[in-house]
Amino acid sequence: MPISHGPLAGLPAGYARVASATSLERGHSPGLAPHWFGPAIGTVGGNRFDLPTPRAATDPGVCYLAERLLGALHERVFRGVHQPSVSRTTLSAHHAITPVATVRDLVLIDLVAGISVHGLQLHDITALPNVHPAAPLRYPATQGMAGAWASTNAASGFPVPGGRVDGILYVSRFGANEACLALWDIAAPALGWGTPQPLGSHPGLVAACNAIGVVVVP
Amino acid sequence: MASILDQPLRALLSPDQVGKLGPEGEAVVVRLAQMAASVALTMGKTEILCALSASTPASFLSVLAERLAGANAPTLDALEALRGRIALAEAVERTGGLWRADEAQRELGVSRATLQSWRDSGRVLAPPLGDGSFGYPIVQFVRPATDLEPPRPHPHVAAILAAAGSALQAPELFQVLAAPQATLADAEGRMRTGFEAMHAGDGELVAGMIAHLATPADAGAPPMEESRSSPVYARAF
Repeated sequence: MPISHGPLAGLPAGYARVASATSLERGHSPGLAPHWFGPAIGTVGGNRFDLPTPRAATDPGVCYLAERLLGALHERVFRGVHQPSVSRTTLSAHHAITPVATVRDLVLIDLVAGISVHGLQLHDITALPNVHPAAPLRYPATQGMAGAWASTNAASGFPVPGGRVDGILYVSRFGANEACLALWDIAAPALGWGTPQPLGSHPGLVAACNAIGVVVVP
Repeated sequence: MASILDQPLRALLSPDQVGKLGPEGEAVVVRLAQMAASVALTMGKTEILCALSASTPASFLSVLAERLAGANAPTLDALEALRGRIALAEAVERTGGLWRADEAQRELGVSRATLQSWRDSGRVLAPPLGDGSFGYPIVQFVRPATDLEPPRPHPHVAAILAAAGSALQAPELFQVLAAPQATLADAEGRMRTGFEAMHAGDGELVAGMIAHLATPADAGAPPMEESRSSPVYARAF
């Protein structure tokens, strides 16, 4: 992905730029809009950069994307759980992939090269989700920061041109080589959406699964 | 050095095995030997050593089956189906085997209708087998303290199956539960399988992990047809 970090991108340390015309992948449910910034109003999201409180109408929504298919598989399908085999039928019934292209540069909080700038440690990014049903949040560290970041963005308080960022650049905690983006709805006009396709028939599925030792079955 | 194949096939089997084999069983042994020979002829020395170092019958079969499938150029679907059955067999072997329906009825002391009811109502996990029947992995049952009572499904199996819903087919779910998971690590940090965690009293945690895996992250998104079209995609490239 054409990403540049900090001063090399003309930004302070801790911020990154994703160039225009970068291709990304969006995993989503079949039949549901891929370009949705969730969670629904009034609900608490269960994803890593969702607000820790029920989303108000004035809160930003988040849309999660990945640089490659494997990143989308890690973040949407496997989610930190070792799944020895996946069925194409199951994948197509529950998951779709839509290609996305950026139509302008994105400026992002950089949790790849600038974690400490934002008061986080590597463990906060790589810790596994808390999956216990009684856990109030699955991702306490990063969800805990989401509210402060949203407030700073609303106040145009980030030290970047214009004071606002489009979202967050991070590495999948389930696959260390997979760059992912959590974009706030301020970035919606910057995204061009392709045609969704069932995940089970994606031409890159077998190669991506083989790379992490997962067997694809019919 | 005398070749192993100079010996009669009988000499390679245990007397007990020979005594139990009927004519059909003998035919299977011969057929397997012929198949194994045809596979071995296509393998290099490294592949043969790899096959011979397999620690379990399922993993040995896995090596041979991959080679056989590769040599016979099957369809992608057939090859994937074969790999899936082998992966399932390995997981079954690791966790202590499974009961076929008649064995499950006998071991559990229930009727066929009861067993089917348990399966249909999501009380037991029963992956379909290659012949169209269902298998009942033994690891999901709780052994009673005495021999007076039969085993019963672990009480958390139902919650785990409910959490999976349709997001995982039975063979996929079984393999997830049979694999060591970091999210289920014990207090010492040792990864546990879902079945180990369940039997150690952490069934809720296992159900939570499956719910995490099965719950779509965009459940509240609007339907596709209500979403706006996006002409900018084509413009971006």
